[in-house]
Amino acid sequence: MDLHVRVPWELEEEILSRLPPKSLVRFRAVSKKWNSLINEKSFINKHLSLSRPQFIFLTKSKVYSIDIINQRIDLRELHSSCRDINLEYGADITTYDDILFCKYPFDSKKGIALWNPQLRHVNLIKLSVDRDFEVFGLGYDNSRPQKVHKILLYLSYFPQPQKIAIYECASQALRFIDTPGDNMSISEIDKRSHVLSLSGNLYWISYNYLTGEYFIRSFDFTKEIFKPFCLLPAQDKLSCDEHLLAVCKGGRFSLLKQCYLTKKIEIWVTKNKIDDKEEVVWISLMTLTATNLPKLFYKMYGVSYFIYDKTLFLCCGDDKSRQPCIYIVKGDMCNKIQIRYGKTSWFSHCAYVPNLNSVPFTISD
Amino acid sequence: MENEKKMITLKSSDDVTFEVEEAVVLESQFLSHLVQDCPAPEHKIKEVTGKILSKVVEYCEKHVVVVVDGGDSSSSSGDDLKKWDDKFIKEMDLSTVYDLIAAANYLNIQALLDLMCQRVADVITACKDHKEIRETLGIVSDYTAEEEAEVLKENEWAFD
Repeated sequence: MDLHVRVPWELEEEILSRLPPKSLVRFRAVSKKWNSLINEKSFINKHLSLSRPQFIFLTKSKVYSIDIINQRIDLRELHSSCRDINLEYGADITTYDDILFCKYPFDSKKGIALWNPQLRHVNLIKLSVDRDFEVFGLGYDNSRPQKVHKILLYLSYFPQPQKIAIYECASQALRFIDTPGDNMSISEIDKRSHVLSLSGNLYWISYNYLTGEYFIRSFDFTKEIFKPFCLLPAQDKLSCDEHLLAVCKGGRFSLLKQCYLTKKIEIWVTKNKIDDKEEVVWISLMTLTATNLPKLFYKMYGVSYFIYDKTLFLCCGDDKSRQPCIYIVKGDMCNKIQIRYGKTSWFSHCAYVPNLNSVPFTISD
Repeated sequence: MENEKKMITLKSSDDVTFEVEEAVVLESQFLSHLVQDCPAPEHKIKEVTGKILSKVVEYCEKHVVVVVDGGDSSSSSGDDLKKWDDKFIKEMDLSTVYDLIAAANYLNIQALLDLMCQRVADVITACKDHKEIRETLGIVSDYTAEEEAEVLKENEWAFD
């Protein structure tokens, strides 16, 4: 049966965009047409929109992907392209647009790694700065046709007054910038908050002590300024709810809110893609009321989550044993599955959508 | 609301007729426009054969009933529907799947198109290498032997 004859090319694209990335790479040799399709931006985007999210789980010695299908978890060890790095003291894994992003302590320098495990593309970037600098986040200037990548750094031994700097990746130039006027502490944010990267800028949840409100603060890499971005939805004054922000499908934000007393979880999403043009509108997506929900407060190794098929998937340590677990939550049901891996001292994890995007930039060491 | 359900007749390219409720027809974007614009009792679909149209009708009838009965799509009827879909595609050969992809695309039935494309994707994923895919899908390679060897070498790691 000839697919080319029977089904038009645009529908063949529909079919191929449903294949896992690794299969697509493996099948580049089928034909030139397939091979060139896998490199096309429109196909990469279509593929990303249909891809099923997973968790990436990092330990001292290994990296795993965790797929969750039909209440079962599939733990796979990923090729250790990043393993030549000393991970004795821990590393944070998160995402940078659709690429995995790690901050690493190198021997003498600060460094970051960008990584697409599906394509086995890795960029290890050592910064030519003093080791007292901490990496806060990576972003780019949105105003120019070619993305100019920059890293936001701060001096760790200077909590007050704060020293904040921009490092331009291409030129390796370092310059200090103005610190925000209020008493925001960048080292505190880096330690305690989950900082998100989206379309070149950074976002995290802050608390305004004057108004008693939670809001999203951002760092704009184009203008190089800190600014308030938007308020969180449906806030009860004086509550101690937990708020977790994440990037979800189509460049939108999702917000997980857990009530401290009842453990009830609410999920909110923004109506539109996040940009500076439109006002942010929050929509309530679902409320989860299972009695055996984990307590998401003060988790030592953090909480990551994604929403797929009207279900919430959580990755965090167990309330009592602290062993890493996956929680599958839908309506009033919550199913816990322990992640079985070799014992290590620490772990880091993030939600990730497998994709075919190549690692964005290379600079010489 | 009318109690009596409006019936519509669909006729395939080879003149096989199917009498279905209007709600079933509305699963297809193409047919719902056709029925609105042209209120005839019978519609000929020249691009789809009787064999394939019977499958399309079977799929749409199943999906229409569940939405009406279940109301809430997150209820258990959603899981039943998934099981039904699985059975529906398992019994089908690839040639029928291709015809259904073309029909679902023409009639604009997104859920059926998704289901069928995923089925072919699963067949491709199960293939062990590029040669098996070519054989299964009848694809003729446009690579020279040297080019093919080079592409294979570059992506060797994906075969671990």
